[in-house]
Amino acid sequence: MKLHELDISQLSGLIGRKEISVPELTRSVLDRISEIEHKLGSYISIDEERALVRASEVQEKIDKGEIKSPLAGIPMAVKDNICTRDMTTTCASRMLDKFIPPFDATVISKLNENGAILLGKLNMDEFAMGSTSFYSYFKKTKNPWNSINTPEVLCEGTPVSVAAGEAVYALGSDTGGSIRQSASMCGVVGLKPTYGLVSRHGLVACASSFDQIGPVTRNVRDCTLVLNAISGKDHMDSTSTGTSIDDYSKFLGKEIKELRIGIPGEFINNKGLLEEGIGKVFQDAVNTLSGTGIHFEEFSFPLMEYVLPVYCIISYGEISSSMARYDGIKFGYRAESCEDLIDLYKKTRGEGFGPEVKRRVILGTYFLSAKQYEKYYKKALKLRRAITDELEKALEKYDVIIGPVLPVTASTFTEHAGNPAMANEYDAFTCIANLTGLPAMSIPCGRDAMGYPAGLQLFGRRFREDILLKVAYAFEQNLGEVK
Amino acid sequence: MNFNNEMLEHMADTARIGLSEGEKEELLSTIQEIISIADGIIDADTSGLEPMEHVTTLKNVFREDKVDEPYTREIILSNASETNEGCFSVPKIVE
Amino acid sequence: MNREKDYEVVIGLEVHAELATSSKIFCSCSTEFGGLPNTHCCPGCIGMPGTLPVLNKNVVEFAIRAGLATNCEISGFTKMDRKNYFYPDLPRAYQISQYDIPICKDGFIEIEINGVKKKIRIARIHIEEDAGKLVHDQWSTGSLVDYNRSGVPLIEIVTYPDMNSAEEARLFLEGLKAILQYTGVSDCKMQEGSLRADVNISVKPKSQEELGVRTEMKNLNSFRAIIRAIEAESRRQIEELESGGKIYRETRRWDDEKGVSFSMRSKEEAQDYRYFPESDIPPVIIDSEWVEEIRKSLPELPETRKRRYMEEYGLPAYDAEIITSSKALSDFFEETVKNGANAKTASNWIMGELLRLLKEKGVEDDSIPFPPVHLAKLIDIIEKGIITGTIAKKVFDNMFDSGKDPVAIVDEQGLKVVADTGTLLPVVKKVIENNPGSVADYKAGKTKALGFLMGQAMRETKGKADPKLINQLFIEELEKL
Ligand SMILES: [Mg+2]
Ligand SMILES: [Zn+2]
Repeated sequence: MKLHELDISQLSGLIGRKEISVPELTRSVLDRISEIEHKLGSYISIDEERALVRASEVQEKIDKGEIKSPLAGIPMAVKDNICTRDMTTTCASRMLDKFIPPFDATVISKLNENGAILLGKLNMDEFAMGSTSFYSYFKKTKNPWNSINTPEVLCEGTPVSVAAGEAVYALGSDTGGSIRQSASMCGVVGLKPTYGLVSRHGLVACASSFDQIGPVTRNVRDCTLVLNAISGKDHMDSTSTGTSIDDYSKFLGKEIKELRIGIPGEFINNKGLLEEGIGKVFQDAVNTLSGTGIHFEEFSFPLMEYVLPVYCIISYGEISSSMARYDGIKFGYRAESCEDLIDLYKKTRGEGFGPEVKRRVILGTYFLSAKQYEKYYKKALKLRRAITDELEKALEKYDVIIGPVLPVTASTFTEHAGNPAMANEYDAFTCIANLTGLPAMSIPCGRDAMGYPAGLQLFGRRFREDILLKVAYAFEQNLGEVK
Repeated sequence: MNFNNEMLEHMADTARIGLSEGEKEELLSTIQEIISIADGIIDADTSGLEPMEHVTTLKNVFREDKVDEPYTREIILSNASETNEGCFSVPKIVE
Repeated sequence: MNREKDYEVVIGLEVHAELATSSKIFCSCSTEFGGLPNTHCCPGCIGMPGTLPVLNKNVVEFAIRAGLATNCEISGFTKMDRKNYFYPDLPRAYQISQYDIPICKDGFIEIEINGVKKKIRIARIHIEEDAGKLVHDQWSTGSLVDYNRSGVPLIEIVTYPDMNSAEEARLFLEGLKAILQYTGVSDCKMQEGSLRADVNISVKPKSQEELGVRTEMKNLNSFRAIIRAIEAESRRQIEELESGGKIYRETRRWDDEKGVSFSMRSKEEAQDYRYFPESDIPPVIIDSEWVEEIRKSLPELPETRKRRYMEEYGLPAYDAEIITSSKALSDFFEETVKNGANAKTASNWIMGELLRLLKEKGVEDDSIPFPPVHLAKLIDIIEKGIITGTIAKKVFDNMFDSGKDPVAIVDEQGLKVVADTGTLLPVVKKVIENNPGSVADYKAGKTKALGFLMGQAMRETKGKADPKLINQLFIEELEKL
């Protein structure tokens, strides 16, 4: 078995037993990157030298018994919208092409304390507006499951790096479904935690009340290990919340047959949205799980019809505001030879932003404008409340709610990545978790007719990642890994 | 009212985004499509509902009124494209 | 109709006061005034991506204090909102402020104009962040931005259009300033921009019910400028209407040097601020317990102090008003009295010599160059007859310039009263000898002449003669004649 195919627990065991050293492991993942990165394009930047220096330091600390974390010495990478001190953080935008934050995101500081080895920064859609890297200023990242016989599928760098062995695990961000959608298409595990469980300090804002950082890993156990390290209250993020759970891995392997699991009828009976191929993968997975005695129940989620419009209106409104600071003055791209201030603003933002950012900013500006505010934004905030109440009520009855991650296959998804209205519709199943702040994750559940992986989505109760992960782990045991 | 070209220009101006004619054309049609998705809530009954302004249920999250060491000016200015006399510089503003 | 008196001027104010916190509203940078450009900054207050605001608790408490001191209702639930607009001094391109639920609302301040009390209603007080500073260097090709002030906490106090003259506006501002200083909410240093006002003005014929079209003048940062701007703008509007013109809803810029205002931009194309809730900051719930705790900690306010000075110390209303209008002056007065001085005497010194010297030397009343105990000592040595009133004024001047203890000044310069007959009798005799005219007048029953003679003797002794003794000696000597 090759080192880059092992998971966190296995590698941590090898390091602990001194069967491999941290520099050796780091070197081996860097070699894997050299081997395959030119085909995939997961990374925007890789800092080999820094990673190797860090590897030696961490090895020393492990030897002295100064770090005990299972993440100690494990090479990983983060999406390029998470601030890293003295390392570019570009958000895959021309606007932040050369931006070097003078501080680390809280998740980075926490991972550093755990002895993580940061290899580099991963490709994404510009300012996290999408899940395919179609809108990256730098390059398009390819799904590692691409083959000559299938249409090419694009993906964010985050899950690709994990699926292809270019990182043992990665951190992504999820505003409308990025972590789960891209994990789903690559056959890895992705978690969007409850809003507030992981500090957003250092995450470049897309839509502030939707954004959340989460782990992308090879399996559910790895997911718990990373979540242990990055979660918790942070005084730099007013919306972050502490939790009494210190180790999510201890819930794995517990019996789940007693639990009640709900499936919203609107997910699977929605013939217009749900592609047949995906419906089948999902149904097969449910059948397999039912066969082991797990009980599923369909329920009705009538407000589903408002999810997409509400998501669009509020998130685009927030985006229009969080993108306003990019003006060429304090940081980032600045257009040349500007006559006056207005000219500086318009040229800088016209040249520095790509089409999807511009579209969302203009739409958000419109939804927030005085004349439209009541009609769109305020009404959407009210419906956000109703949708949240309805889903929380369902979660009083069900311990977990499940459905497909995407309504379409990876190839259909990629095909329409450049079609804003359709791309939007594909967020319908995932953005529910961002609208409500509830935790949700994607675990692999099979492959579509083209051979691309597809994910099963699980929604949990607020701050009850313990139940969510316990169920996900049990499912994973029965569904097997995507090979 | 329909989101027309004039509205597009007005919104792009408000958002300080310069657009080429080609961009305008492409944006106009996709923006109209998304507005029709947004229009899906127009007939929704929201009577008796309070706007959800915060996703978190936290309240009264404060910091104590304490001063920390400031960042050096060098760091503060380090990402700016143009600086002058310890300041960020902008085209001349005539008031 | 063509007289200013046929019109009514209607004035509303929006006052911004910087709060006296140590750190900024959303980050832990210092709020200290001055410093080299961009040295009181962090990634947060220059709007860097990835940073998040965390609300300073003192800002909320100061706003509640200001609200309670101005008779406002405190909101049980309040939240922050984003106000979106582009300007280089606003680093995130949105100001975190409050929109529909301000922290305080529906208060008032009472002013007294020509002996009549009038309530000026306060619509709201909300908290928000200040912007940075733009420096316009006339020699360079660009403008410069300094974010030291970016994120300094402000309260914005919005009044109803309840004022009808520049004088009323001045009285309101004086009253507000005193309250903010007393409660420790703001130091209100206008020269440092910690108190500034936007003025909304309209005029209407007195016979007319509805208000006229209003104009707004922004960021006036001295009382003098505010008064002059109101006077000039109301005159301009009346003249405009009189000559058949129209008033437009617009923002005008006041040029204090020239004494005129200019139209900046019309409100028709007013900015759309696209306010919406700030989700990065959880709501603030202010329960009655918290409010009561703050209410209990409020110091005595100027109005109460003024009444107490009148009742307890018997100060005239005018003196009590002047002294309490400044917290610094009032505190100085209280300390002087605490150190044993008679209140009325202390008040006379403050109202007279102290205010005169402060004004003459351009010293702010919070920087009086000697401590209150010195004034108390000075009053004490006058009352004990150690120095005379004439000498006391000299000692006071000296005290103001040198900051020295009055007793030391008297000792060093030998200013003590001369009260022995052996020294004073020859002086009295000499004055009588040299002023036969006045002596004759006195003898003829013109008692005033005695005053003149005493004045001569004082001059001879450089003001040090004990007035009682010298008076007695004159009467005795003149009797003998
Ligand atoms: Mg304001
Ligand atoms: Zn700061």
